[in-house]
Amino acid sequence: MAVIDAPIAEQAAPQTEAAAKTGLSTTSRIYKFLSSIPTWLLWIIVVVWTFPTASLFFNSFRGREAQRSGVFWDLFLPPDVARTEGSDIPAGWDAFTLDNYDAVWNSQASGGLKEGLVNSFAISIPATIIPIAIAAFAAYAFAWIDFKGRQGMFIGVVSLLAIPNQTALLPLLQTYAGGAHWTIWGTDKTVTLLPDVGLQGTPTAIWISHTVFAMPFAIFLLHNYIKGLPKDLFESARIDGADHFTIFWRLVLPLSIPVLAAFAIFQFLWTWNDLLIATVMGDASGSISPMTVRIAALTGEFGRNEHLLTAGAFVQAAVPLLVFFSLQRFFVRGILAGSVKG
Amino acid sequence: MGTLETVGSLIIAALCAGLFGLLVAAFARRVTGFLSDSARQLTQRVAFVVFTALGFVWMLRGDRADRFIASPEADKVASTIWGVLLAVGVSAALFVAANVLFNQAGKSYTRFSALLGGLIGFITFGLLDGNRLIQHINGRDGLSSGLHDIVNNSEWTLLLFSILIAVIIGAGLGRAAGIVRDNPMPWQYGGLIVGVVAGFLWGVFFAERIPVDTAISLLWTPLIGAALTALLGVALSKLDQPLRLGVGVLGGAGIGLMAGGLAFSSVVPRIQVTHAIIWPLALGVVGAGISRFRGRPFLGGALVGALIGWIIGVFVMTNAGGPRLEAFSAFGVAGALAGARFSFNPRPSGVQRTEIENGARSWIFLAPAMFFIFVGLVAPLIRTIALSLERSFRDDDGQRVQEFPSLENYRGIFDNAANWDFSNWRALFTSAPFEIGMLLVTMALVVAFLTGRRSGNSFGGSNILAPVIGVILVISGYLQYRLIQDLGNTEEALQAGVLAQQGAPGWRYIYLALFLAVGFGLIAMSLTGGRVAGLSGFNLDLGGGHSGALLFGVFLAVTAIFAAIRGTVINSLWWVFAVTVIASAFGLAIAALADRARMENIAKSIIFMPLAISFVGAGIIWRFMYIARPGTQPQTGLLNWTWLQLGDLSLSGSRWIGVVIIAAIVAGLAMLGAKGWQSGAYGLTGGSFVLALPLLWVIWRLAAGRLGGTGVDGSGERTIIFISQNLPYNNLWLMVVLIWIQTGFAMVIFSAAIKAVPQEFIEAAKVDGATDSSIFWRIIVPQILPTIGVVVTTLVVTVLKIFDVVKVMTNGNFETQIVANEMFFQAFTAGNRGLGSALAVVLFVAVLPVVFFNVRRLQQEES
Repeated sequence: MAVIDAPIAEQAAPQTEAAAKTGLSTTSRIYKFLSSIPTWLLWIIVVVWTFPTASLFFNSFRGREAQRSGVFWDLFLPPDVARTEGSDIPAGWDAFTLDNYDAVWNSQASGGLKEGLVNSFAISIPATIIPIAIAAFAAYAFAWIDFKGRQGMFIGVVSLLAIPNQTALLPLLQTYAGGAHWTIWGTDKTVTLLPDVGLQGTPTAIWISHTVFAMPFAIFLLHNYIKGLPKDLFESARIDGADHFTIFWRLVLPLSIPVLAAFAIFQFLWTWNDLLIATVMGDASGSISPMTVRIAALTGEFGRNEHLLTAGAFVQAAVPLLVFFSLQRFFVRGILAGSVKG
Repeated sequence: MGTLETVGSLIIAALCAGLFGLLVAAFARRVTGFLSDSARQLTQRVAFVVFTALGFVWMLRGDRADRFIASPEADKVASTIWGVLLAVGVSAALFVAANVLFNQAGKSYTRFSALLGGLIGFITFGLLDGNRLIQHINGRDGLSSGLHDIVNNSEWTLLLFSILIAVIIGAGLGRAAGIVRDNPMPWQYGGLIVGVVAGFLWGVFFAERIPVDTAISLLWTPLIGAALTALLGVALSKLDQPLRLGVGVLGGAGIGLMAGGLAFSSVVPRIQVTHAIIWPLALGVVGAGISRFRGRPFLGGALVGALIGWIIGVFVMTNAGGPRLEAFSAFGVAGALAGARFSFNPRPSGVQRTEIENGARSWIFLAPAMFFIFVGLVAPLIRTIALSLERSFRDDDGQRVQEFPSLENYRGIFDNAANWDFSNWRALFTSAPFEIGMLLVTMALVVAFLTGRRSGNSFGGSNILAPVIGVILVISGYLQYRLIQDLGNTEEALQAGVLAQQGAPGWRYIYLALFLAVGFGLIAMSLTGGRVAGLSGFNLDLGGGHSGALLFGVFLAVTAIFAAIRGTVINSLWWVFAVTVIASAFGLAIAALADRARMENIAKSIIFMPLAISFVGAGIIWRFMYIARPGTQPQTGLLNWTWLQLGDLSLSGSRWIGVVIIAAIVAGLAMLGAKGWQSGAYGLTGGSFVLALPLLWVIWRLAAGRLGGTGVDGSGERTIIFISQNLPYNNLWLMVVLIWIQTGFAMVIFSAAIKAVPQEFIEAAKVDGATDSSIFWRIIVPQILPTIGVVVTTLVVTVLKIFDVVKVMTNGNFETQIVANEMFFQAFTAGNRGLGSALAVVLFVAVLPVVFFNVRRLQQEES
C-alpha cells in the first residue's frame, strides 16, 4: 500500500505557491514525473497479471524439449538467437508446434482429456439449468408472495450462503451410496427416510450436489433483483386478475433475463471449474470425471507429461474464458448484485 | 465415424427432432383450449421442448441398430439430455399438478378433498409397500437394472411415449366430445383419464421388458390406498357434524385396517400393552394441555397427542415382525385417531378455502428449493456434526466399538503438533519481516504524531491504539533482549537467527533501544495526554500515506508471527489473513488507480480474467511460473529466470548503472520529503521515506553484488525452489495464486463502490485544498467502508473453502497443509470419517462470524 500510495501523496506539490512562482523547478519536474506513475503503474500491474497466463498459452505451442530449454518468449525469437550453443533442439519460432494439442486430443497419455471435455459439458450444462429453474420460483415467492415466516426463512437461506461445501459432503455421499436412514434414539429402530436409488458415481449425483450448493446464492441473487422490480407492475397485474403463476411467467421471468444470465454464467463457471464435488462424487473408474479432475491427476505425475499440461490446462480454461469475455457485462453485474446490494 | 459425419448426423437428427416437436406442440395447443392462456402457452412450449428432445434422444439411443450415430460421445449427449428432460419433466408435472390441486380448494372443495385424499393415500400406501415402486425403477429389486438403463431401454421410452401421445389423443377426443355435448368439463377430464389409462396399458403390453403382472403388482397397493382415501375425502367434504365425526373415525379405521393388511412385513409392529397404553395417554394429556394453553378446544390436541403417542408406543418402541392381528389393530387405531382428529374440525368455509389456496401457493413456489436446501445442506450439516462426535475404535477383544458422543476427533485436531506448533515462537523476534514491520509501524506513528500535532486532526481510537502499540513495542523489545542474553554467542543463537542475520549483536542493541524508546514514549504520552511534552493534546492523525505504511508494517509483523508458529490450522489462518488482506488491498489500489486511467475497462477486464480460470488451471499456471531448475541449466520458470537475470546484473559491471538510476530516484524522493517537511505535509515526507527505504536496500544489495540468484561458485543453489524448499514462505507462494485470482473480484466491487461516492464530496474537498491522498483516505475509504466489509467477508469464506490450489501444487507436503485439504484427505482418501467431519465442523465454526455479519447486514437493509 505504501508503495502505491506514496506517489499519490506527492500530488500536493504543484498547488503550493512556491512551485507555481518559479515555474518548473527541479522539484516540480521530479514531481511531474512521479505523479504520472499511477497510470503507468496500472499498466505495469496489468502486464504482470497477464504474464502467468501468457506463459502457459505460448508454452502450449512448444514441444517438450523446447519448453525445457527456455522461457516462453523464445517462441518469438529467431532460431539462431534462441538456440543454446551445441544443442540441436528446435529453438525460437522454429519450435512452434501443435503437437501438444494433438496429443491432448488424441492420445491416451493425456488421461483422456477429450472424454473429460465431453464430461465437463455433460456436468456443467444441466448443473446450470436445474438450479436456475428451482431458485427462480423460490426467489419470486420470497420477493412478492406474502406468507407467514417469510422473513425468517429468507434469513435462514441467506445464512447458508457462507457455509463451506465441505460440511455437507460426507453425508451427501453416504446418502447417494445407501440412502438416508435414521436410527431413532433409545431404540434399535431404523427408519428409511430416502431409499437407495443408486446415485453413487452417476452424473445425476454431481448435478444434485451442484444444485444444492448453488441454491442459497441463487435464491439470494435472484431475490435481490426480483425484489427491485417496480411494485406498480405487480399491482396492476393483480388488478387484471393475473395469478402468481401468470405474473411469474409473463412478467418476472422476461424482466429478470439479465440476472438469470448473470447467475447462469456464475454457475457455469463454478461447475466447469469445480474439482471438489467432481472428485468426491465421481465414480471410481473416473469415466464421468471432467477435465479438472483429469488435469489434477496429471499433475500428480508432473514431469512425465508436463508439456501436455500446458495444452490441457489451456483447453480447460478456453471455455470459461470465452464465456467470460463474451458475457462479461452480465458477469460483473451479477457480482455486484450478489455482494454489494445485499 | 469421422467428426464431420458425426456433426452432420447430429444436425440432421436435431432438425428431424425439432420438426417432430413442432408438430406435437401445434397439436397440443389445439387440444388444450380448456386451460388458461398462460397455462396453454406453457403446455405448448413444454410439449415442443420435451418432444424435440425425446426425438433427439431416440435417434441417438443406445441399443437400436439403426440409430443415427454410434459413438460413446453420442451416448453421453443422449443420457445428459435424458437426465435434464427427466428432471424438467418431473418438476413441471409436479408443479402443474400441485397448482391444479390447490386451484380446486376454492372452486370445488369436494374435488379438492378427493385429489388430496388420493395423493395422501398413494404416498402412504406406497411407503407402506416398502418403496417397492422406487426400488423397481432404480433397479434395486433385480427386475430392471437402474435409472441409467432407462435411457438406453427402448421399452421404457416406448412406455413414456405411449402415455404422452395417448394423453394428447385422449384430451383431444374429450374436447371433441365436449363440444358436441355442449358441456365440456367432465368430458375433457374423462378423455384425459381414458388417455392416461390407454397409453399406460398400450405401453405395458408393447414394452416387453416390463411384464404386465409386475407393473400391476407394483402399483396396485398404492392405487387401492389412493382410491380409499379419496373416497373418504369426498365423504368428509360433504358431511357436517355429528355424522362427519362418525364417518371420519370409521373411515380412518377402515383405511388403517386395509393398510395393516397390505403393509410390508418390516413395518408390522409387535404390540406391547404397557407401551400401547402409557404413551398415547401421556402424550394425549400433553396435547390437551397445549391446546388449552393456546385457547383451542382441548379434544383436538388430545387426539393429536394420542395419535403421536400411539405411533411412538406401538411402532417405535417395539420391534417389527408381529402377527397380522396386531398389524390390523396397530394400523386401525392409528387410522381411527387420525380420522377423528381430521373430521373433528367443521367443514371449512369459503373464506377458509381461499386461505388454504393462497397459503399453499407460496409453498408450491418454495417447496422444491426448500427441499433441496434441507435435504442437501441442513440435514447433512447436522449429520456432519453428529459424525464428528462419533468415535469408532477396536476394543481389547478386537471388536469394533462406536462411542457417541465423544470428543476424541476434536482432541485429534487440537492436541496435534502437526496442526498447532508454538515451539518455535522465539524465532519471531529475530525474523526480518517482524523487525521491518515494527520499524515501519514506529515510523508511521511518528509521522502520524507530527501530522496530528500540526493539523489537530486525530484518529478516534488513538487513545487506545497508541498505548497498545507502545506496550507491544516494549514487550517485544524486552523479549529480544532476553533472547540475546539467554543465547549469547552460541550455536543456538545462530539458529534462532540472532546472529545469522545481522552478524553482530551490537547492531541489535541500537535497534532494541529504538523499540524501547518509542514504546515507552507512546505509553508515557498517552498516559499523560501529551501534557508532559508541553503539548496541548495527544493526537495521532491516521489518514494519508503513512497509514499505508502503518498497515503494511502490521501486515509484515503478523506474517512474521505466522511464519514462526507452524501447523495446519495456523496455515489456514495465515491463508485467510494474507489472501484477504492482500487481495482486498490490491483490489482497492487498482480500483483507485483505474478510476482515472484511460482505457480503464480493458485494464480491469485483464486483471479480472483469472477469476474465470479454475483453481486447478491457476495452480498449473503458477507451477510453471515457479519451476526451478539447477542454476547451470536454462530457466523455464519466469520468476527464477528474472531472479538469475538480477544475479547476472549484480555481478556484472553494468550494475553501477542500476545503482546510479536508483540512487537518482532516491535523491528525488529525499527532495520531496524535505519539501514536505518544510510545508508541513508530513504525510508526504513519510511516504517518500517509506518508498526510499526498499530502494536503499536494493542499492545496498546491488553494490555488494548480492542481489538475485548469484551463484559465484557455480553451485546449484542459485535458484529459488519456491514451493518445496523455501520454508515457511512457500505458503506465501501458494497464496499468490489465490491472490492473483481474487484481486479481480475485489477490484470490480471496489471500483463500483468508488464510482458511487458522490462527486460533490470530492469536489468540495478539492476546493478546500485536499490532496488526492487525503481525498482517498478521508473521503473515499470511509464512504466505501461497508463495501470493504462485504469484500473481506466474501474473501474469508472463499479462502477457507479453497483446497484445489494446495491439492494441485503441493498436496499439503512441505508444511503447506491447510484445513480444507486435510479434511479432504482424512474424509475421502484416508477414510477417517470422524476426523474428517470434525475438520469440516472446524471450517463451519470458522465461518460463523461471517454468517452472523451477513444476517445483520440483511436485517439492517430490510428495516
